[in-house]
Amino acid sequence: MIRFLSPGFAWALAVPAVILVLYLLRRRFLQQQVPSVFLWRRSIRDYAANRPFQRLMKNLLLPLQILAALALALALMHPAIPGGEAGQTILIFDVSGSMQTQTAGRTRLDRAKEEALKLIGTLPAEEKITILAAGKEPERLALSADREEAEQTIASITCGKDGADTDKALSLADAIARNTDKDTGTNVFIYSDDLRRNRISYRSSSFALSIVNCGAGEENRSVYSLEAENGQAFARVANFGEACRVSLTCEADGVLCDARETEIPAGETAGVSFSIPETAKLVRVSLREKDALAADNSAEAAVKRSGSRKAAVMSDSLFLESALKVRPELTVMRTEESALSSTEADLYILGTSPLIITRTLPEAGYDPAATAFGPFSWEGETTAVTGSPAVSLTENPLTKGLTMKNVFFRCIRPVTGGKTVASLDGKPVIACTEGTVVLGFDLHDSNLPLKYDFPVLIQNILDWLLPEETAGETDAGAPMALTESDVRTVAPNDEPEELQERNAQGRELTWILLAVFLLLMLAEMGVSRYVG
Amino acid sequence: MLTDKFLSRLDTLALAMRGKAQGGAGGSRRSRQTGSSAEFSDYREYIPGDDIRRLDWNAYARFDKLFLKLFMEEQESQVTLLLDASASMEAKWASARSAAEAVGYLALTGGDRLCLHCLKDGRAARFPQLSGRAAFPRLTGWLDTCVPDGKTDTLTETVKRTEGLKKGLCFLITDGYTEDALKETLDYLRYMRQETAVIHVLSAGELRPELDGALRLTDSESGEHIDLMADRSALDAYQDALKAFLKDVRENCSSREASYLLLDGGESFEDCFIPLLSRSGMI
Repeated sequence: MIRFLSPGFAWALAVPAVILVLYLLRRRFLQQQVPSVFLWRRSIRDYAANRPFQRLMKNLLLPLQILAALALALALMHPAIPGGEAGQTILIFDVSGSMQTQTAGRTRLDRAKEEALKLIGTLPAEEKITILAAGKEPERLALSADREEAEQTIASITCGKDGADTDKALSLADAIARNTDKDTGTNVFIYSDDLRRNRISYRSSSFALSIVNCGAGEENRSVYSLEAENGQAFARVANFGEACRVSLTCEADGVLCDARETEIPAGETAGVSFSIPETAKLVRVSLREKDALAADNSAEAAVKRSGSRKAAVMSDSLFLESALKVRPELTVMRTEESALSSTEADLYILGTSPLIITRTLPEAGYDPAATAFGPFSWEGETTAVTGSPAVSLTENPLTKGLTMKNVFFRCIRPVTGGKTVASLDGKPVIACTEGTVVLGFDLHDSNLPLKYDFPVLIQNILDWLLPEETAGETDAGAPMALTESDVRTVAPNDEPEELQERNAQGRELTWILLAVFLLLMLAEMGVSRYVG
Repeated sequence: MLTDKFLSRLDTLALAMRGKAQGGAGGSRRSRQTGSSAEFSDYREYIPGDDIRRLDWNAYARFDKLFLKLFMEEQESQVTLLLDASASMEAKWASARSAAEAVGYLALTGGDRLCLHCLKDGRAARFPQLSGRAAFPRLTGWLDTCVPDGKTDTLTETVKRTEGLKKGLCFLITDGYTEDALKETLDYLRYMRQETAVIHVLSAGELRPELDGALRLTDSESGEHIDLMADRSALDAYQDALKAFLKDVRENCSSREASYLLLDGGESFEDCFIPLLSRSGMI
């Protein structure tokens, strides 16, 4: 429906009527009688025949004048039709790595920007423009911006190295659209490349969706998946162009270890496996042929360990063994002092008092009679504990989740050296370094093993000494979510520093549940009695 | 009214007639019949009983035979005046009346019988025949009673209603506004053995219209009107139409052996009529 933005000029519609009246008034002919109109009739007929448009011109002038007056009146009233009203337009840019593919010196993202700028040029001046970047997670770059701001934002968009989750971006667009005035409507435009990868399954009635394909067909292959485990690396290669034969190389810890070739049909993927050394920690698979997008021609992955870690334990504490077995990947081996040097393990638990838990044995080996181990040292005699002093804990990853309430010791062997983790009456009873934790007491001389603090402490020690091989994989430059246990800083004096975790409560809850589980398990096995 | 001076000029003239008179009564026109007029016509052999006073003794002396002289019989002709008295003639009625009066005078003084018919409203009103110079005042009196206020549906049909048409001269005084440019009328008159002479009377306003501006021209006869922007182009177109019309009328007259003269109502009748009569061969 046509509206008039300046209805006040409706009076101008009367002008054609005035013209008509004036025309009619003006058209008063002077009456004249003639003997006969015979010859005049003939002359007019001939005149009209020779001037075919003369009569038409005479008759055309009035309607032309009226039309011109009508057009002027309508123009003054400023007619407008729907569609020109400002609404909401949401532009979603695929910022995946493939948008960096170049053709004739322009990337796909450049093309997307050009198309978007063209579109913006056709929008009403009052149109609200929202710009989203669709990467792994959608990012809102501009919200209800004006044209100038939108153009500047578009110019500043850059590609990432990850893929694009357009469904998440559409979900965000949907939420924005629902808040838009329904009378004006929302249009969503997605600027993306090869949509076979980024299949758009999200649909909503809140907006009208248009997909702008910004390029495909360039010859491009990518190594888009890589996993390494148990001496094997498995890569998946995608071919976005014509059928071809590709050559791949595999490097383990920077050293070329394998090479393969494979045929990939057009638009298909192929899996390729490589042999890697057992001790490899980082694997990289690369395509040898160059294509339109080099950024996706290689992939890296950390080699996953299949949980085979060994702990060599000299202690006969069942509580200790039980606490160690909470870790499914940890294999606990009882060992004797004499076999210690020949035992290869990831963790050594030595002695009883102090109880030394270490990753590596000293070169000189372990001497149970020694009063020092690495930087740690202790008295030769234990110190009796009188009364029931409380255990003081320091802020340390090893003390996470610990309260040490109602933990009593009969006697202790204070440990000096390293960083104090817990102390009793000012005497360090638990100390640690980067690779060693020393408990300055015999587990049998304390009721600690009976407390839920004990399995929590052991797990803290294991996390400290045997952290997970990977906290996750991410590409360079991409963000990564980490927990406190994933990150540990070590001071130059080899003393660990603690990172503050923003949300420790969830972590604590996890260990509480773990402790409860252990407690229940211990209850089944029997309870030691503390005699103090 | 014609002046005496003009009438005295007409006395020296006579209407021309191509054919031989067959009026029957004595007149001044040649007839095919031989009679006792002084104009020698032919010879024939003497038959006992002929008037011996007609014997041509010279021929006897030459041919030693008796021959009788024959003389032309002079008889009167009928001159018919068909005067268009429709409303369109009002603008040039003076000229048309004068022409009828002059032709009537010539006819009466030439010893012809004059029949006047006034054509209007689809009828040909006939006036009693006149003959002799002494009847001229009656002619003018009847012409005074003719008022050009009638309608002429078609001139031909009106002419056909003319009664008493006898072989002779026929003067059609009209403005000639017929679609066929008098063609059918002339054919009829020719059929009726008339030596037709067309006196085409047009007023100065019809021959040289001086119109300007937006005009509603109303036909004085039919009431039809035409709205006209009388600019130069329109006047030029009118002149073209007039020329074509006059040409058609002349050609129709010429092809039917009818004399034609165009009488301009804007000029002095007494100055131009006699030369026009002479040029057209009507006298």
